[in-house]
Amino acid sequence: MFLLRDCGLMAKSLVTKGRVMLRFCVATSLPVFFLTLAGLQGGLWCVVALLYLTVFTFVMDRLAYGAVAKRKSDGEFPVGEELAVFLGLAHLGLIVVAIYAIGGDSGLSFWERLVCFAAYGLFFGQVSNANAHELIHKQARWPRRLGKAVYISLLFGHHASAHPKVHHLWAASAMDPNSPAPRQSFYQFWPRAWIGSFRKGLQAESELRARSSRNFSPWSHPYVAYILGGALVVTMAAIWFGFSGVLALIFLTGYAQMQLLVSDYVQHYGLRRTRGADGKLEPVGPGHSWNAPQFYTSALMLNAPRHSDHHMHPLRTYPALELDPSQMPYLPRSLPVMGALALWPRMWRRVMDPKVAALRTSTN
Amino acid sequence: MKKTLCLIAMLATPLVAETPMSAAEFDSYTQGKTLYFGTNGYRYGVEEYLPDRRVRWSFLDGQCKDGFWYEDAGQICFVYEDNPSPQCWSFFDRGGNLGAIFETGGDLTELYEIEGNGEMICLGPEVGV
Repeated sequence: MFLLRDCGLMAKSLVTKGRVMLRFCVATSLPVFFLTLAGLQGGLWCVVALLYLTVFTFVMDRLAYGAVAKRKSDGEFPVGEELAVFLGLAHLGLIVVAIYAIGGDSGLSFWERLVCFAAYGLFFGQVSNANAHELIHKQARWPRRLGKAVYISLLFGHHASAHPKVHHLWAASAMDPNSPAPRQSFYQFWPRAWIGSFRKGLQAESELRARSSRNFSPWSHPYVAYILGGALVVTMAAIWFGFSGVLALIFLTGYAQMQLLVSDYVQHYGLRRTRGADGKLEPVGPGHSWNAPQFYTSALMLNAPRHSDHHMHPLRTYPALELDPSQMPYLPRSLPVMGALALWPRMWRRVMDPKVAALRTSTN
Repeated sequence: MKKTLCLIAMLATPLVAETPMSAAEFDSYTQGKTLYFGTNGYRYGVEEYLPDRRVRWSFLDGQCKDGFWYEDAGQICFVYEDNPSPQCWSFFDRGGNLGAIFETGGDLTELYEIEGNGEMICLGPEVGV
């Protein structure tokens, strides 16, 4: 319903919002379609989804090189909220299907389950994460709650607090657990990011509640929902799909969380805000995030690779995010490719440390 | 022992929870001003305070919406033209700098006053398509 309305806008006129939204609608809805079929029809559709999320996306990035999102003729950008809500709801359904397919009584062979693990895991890590991130930045209450629900289902609920209240505040500084320290490998980074964001998010929420003059019930603390919600998800997996279901959930959500953390790692590696003479951090600028311009992966991840503009304007909706190669540093490959490279620290440093050094000399 | 703890707790409370501004204090602080607000390290929005408790808000995106405010149970509540539900905030005067906390279903947003830079642009409604 939502999807048809948002994507259906393109039927009205080629110069309306539809043309801009088309890339996002198509790129994200195809894997939803494949993965839904996978749950009903079995492993072959997981192969299709996996090939789509890897080979097809990579090829499309190369083919559409140079194409960037354009404004409509009157300068307006679509808001894209219907697609974001659709993807959030689709996620909640797909995670149940995924656990069933991988850990439940689905009749899939071991190899089918493995391929499905990769396919669902990549979808949750690249599309669901990017979309939930979009939702938690929204002003409206219900889209934001949907975003939180997606993170809770990934056993990563605290990210909904830590991301806006810690990462955005302290990005590219030593105070942010989700910005890597200089030359830190991903393997050193991720436990500090996970635990650090949990603790600092908790602290930020608690202190904010204390500063307000209202009396809050302890049960309304957001972390109560994150922890109890996570426990509920695990319990439901156990009841519906047994121990193997819980195992599938742990591995699948772990895989999705790792992709989110590698995204943070890649997007802020080596970039640091300076402190002025008064001790204050400089404001977040175009040079404090890594960006990637590739067309199809940007569509798949709702412009998440346009990271500098997102940090400079966190309320800007994803179709409106901008790139500026003259001011914003670019990764040498697409975000997913760089994420994979980050798993190999020696090669990662060999590729990225010279780029970081070059940026530093050009600013000095 | 209990009494001592109670006393300490009562004394400590003002240190954590500030007293929100009353309607009169808020009115006199904001009259005729255009205030810019930030949150979590980024610019959030701007509000123009007009006579008769009317306001105009923008998320610094070229779009503006009109509204008005009133006091309700110690909070300042705003109703804007695009949403009949009131949004209620607690405002604090932090040494000549306005702060505000907004709660919607347990999710708190905190704003603080920041320096303006003439960004309150209100473009007209969409013409044509």
